[in-house]
Amino acid sequence: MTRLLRRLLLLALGLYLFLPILASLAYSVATSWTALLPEGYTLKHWANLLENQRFWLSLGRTALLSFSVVALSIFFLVPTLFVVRMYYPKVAGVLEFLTLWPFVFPGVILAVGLISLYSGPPLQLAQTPFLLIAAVTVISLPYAYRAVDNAFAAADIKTLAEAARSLGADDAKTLAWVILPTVLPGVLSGGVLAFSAAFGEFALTQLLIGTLWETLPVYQVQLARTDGNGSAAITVLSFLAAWGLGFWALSLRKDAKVSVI
Amino acid sequence: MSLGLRWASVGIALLFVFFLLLFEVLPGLLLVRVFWNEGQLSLASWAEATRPLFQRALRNSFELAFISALQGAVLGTLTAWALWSSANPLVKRFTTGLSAVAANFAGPPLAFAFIVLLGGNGFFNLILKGLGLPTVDIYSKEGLYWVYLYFQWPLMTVLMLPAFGAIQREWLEAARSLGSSQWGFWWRVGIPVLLPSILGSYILLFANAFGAYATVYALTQGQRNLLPLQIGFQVGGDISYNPVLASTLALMMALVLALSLVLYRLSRRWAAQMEGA
Repeated sequence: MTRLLRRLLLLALGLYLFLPILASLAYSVATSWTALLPEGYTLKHWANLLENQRFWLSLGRTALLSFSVVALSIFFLVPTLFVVRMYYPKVAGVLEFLTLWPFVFPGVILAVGLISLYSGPPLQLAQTPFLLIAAVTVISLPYAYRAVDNAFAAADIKTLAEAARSLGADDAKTLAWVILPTVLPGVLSGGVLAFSAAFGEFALTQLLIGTLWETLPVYQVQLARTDGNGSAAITVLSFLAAWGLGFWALSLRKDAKVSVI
Repeated sequence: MSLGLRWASVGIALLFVFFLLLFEVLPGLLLVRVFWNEGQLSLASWAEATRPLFQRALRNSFELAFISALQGAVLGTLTAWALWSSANPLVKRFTTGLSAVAANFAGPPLAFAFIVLLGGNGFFNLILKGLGLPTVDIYSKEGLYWVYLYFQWPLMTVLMLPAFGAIQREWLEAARSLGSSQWGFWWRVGIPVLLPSILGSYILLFANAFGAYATVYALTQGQRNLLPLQIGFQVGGDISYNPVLASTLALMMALVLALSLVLYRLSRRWAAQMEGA
């Protein structure tokens, strides 16, 4: 009885998570689909999508946005957490408070404030990709912060630095050969999570810049109005990206924590 | 550490704080401007934001979050139990990983995937029709629950796993050998130990659904009276640009989310006490 219930639950969850993707995959290669199974199969929809310049442009913008967010996150987080863990542990609370902020002010709310702040001088950033990159960096911060912070916490860099110094390494060597390699998997994991969050970001993109600078999810919403099969192909690609990145990030760390607060 | 490395890092850290002030803290704090009108303290914007239309949006969002979190919490807690009692480490690892990834998946791709399954000619609806059962309307209120369950269920599963980890199997065996039934054990020991975590995780699921924008926007082209969509509509639409109204509605939403965060933190503290007891 217990075993049956256990199997049923896990099977149900598995089906629930996989069926939407399989259905989208089938729809993206179906000629027409009005009976239980598609009438025939074709690669036409994929070919159309891959020949479509708008698709490649939006994918390129999404990639640019995601890479910028990762670069910015790592540039800020690694030195900051290094210095806080090493010299100013008392500041850690303030930093954590700042990374919880997006929980209370998610994308929709952040967009309201940003549009008001940057629609006029002195900083007229509204409707530019720069503002979008900054905003998406803020929204994906909790994920990146948690991963990088865990890496520094597990590494106990103070002890590492002392050990390296007692063996005669100078500071640059200690940082380059001892501390950075130790925290690298965690930093990479945080970077991959931030990339994934930026890749799928929709609310901020739609409200801050919309169709002026179409990213993949925004383009998909436009495309779905006229071409359901093409939109299904984008769904499959998005799933592959999210799952691939997600499992990669998980493989870089020991725990599978999803909660960022 | 040499002064150079240390101060370069401090410099970047200060730059980071400045960046957060500009793009995170200030846009959030700006919301309180709704209490001012031409330099005077005023509640005029609240009168506007509490019109019946927006009251309904708040109620709808609340109902959606409450019910979708409840569905996810029940299924997720049971699934976490199934994983806890499963002896197969491979199943455990795979399901945990899958859940962790799926919990963060939302937005247009998810909405359109469900339209393929549960739309007018969706695969599932064809099966239901064939069996003579009532079909699901993905664009209805209930339809949205089906979509939200996609991230709520795995999210609850992953959130509950550590809590189940605190329950030793030996306890169950000890209780059984002392003559307690399995139900008796869960009723007297298991559930009391899990309760703070269940509540805390439920609150996270609630906030998750309450603030969700992308999925429901893609599903309904924004045609649904929910608080996040109304906020977006006030700043994103070319038709209506009303930043003060948007800020007031956003402040309402932020208050609900802030309260959720406080309750979550309290439940964490309570959970730590329970596990330490």
